[in-house]
Amino acid sequence: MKKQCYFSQHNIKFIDYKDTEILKKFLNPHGRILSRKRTGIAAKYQRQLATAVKRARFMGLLPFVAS
Amino acid sequence: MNDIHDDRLAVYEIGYLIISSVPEEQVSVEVEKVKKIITDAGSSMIADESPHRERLAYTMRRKTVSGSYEKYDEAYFGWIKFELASGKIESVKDAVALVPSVLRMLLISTVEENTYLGKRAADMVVGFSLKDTPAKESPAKNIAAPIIEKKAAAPATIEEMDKSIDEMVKEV
Repeated sequence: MKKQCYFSQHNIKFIDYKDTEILKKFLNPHGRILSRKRTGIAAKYQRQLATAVKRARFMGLLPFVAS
Repeated sequence: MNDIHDDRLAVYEIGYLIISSVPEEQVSVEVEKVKKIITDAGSSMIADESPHRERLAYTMRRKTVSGSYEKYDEAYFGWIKFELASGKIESVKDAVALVPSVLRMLLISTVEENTYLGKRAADMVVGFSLKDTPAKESPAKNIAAPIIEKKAAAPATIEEMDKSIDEMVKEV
């Protein structure tokens, strides 16, 4: 069964690093970004997601390593 | 050629952290300092959010003039979106980073439309779980499956079994 892209479904065109509630959904318990195989999102949004998570980490909104 | 690129207007966003030692009443004063730097460069403001105190995901350190380190577990996080000529952005970035009360800042190139969902984001994630949707099957699994099926679909006949027994006897 083909998985639907979360961001296409919700009509989100740009992933903002400040939307940490959404970003957290795509992290594992250690705070690492889930693979595209797990997230099921389009390649375009997976790239945007990775950038947004890294920006949020730099600003202290998300952890680099979650304990 | 460079002059043409320097005059081109682009949309930027500055996210900043103001140190937690600043009293809540003084935060707006610090924000005005940051805003003044941006407006003085000739930018037009698009959107902003006033800083709110937030617990940081990890402890940030900052080196003081004396050489010791200050540690921060909390900070005021705010952001400003503005339009500015691309040639002036470097000076704005350096000036904001040098404000003493700014612990950390992030400059990004963005779009004019609103990209921040804010409170709407919380509604969007309600009931959403990646566990509900199974991961895509790997191609390796798809290749392996028909081979197993082939083996099961071809039962050996009595004649074939006799032949193979004869061959094994000859070898012995």
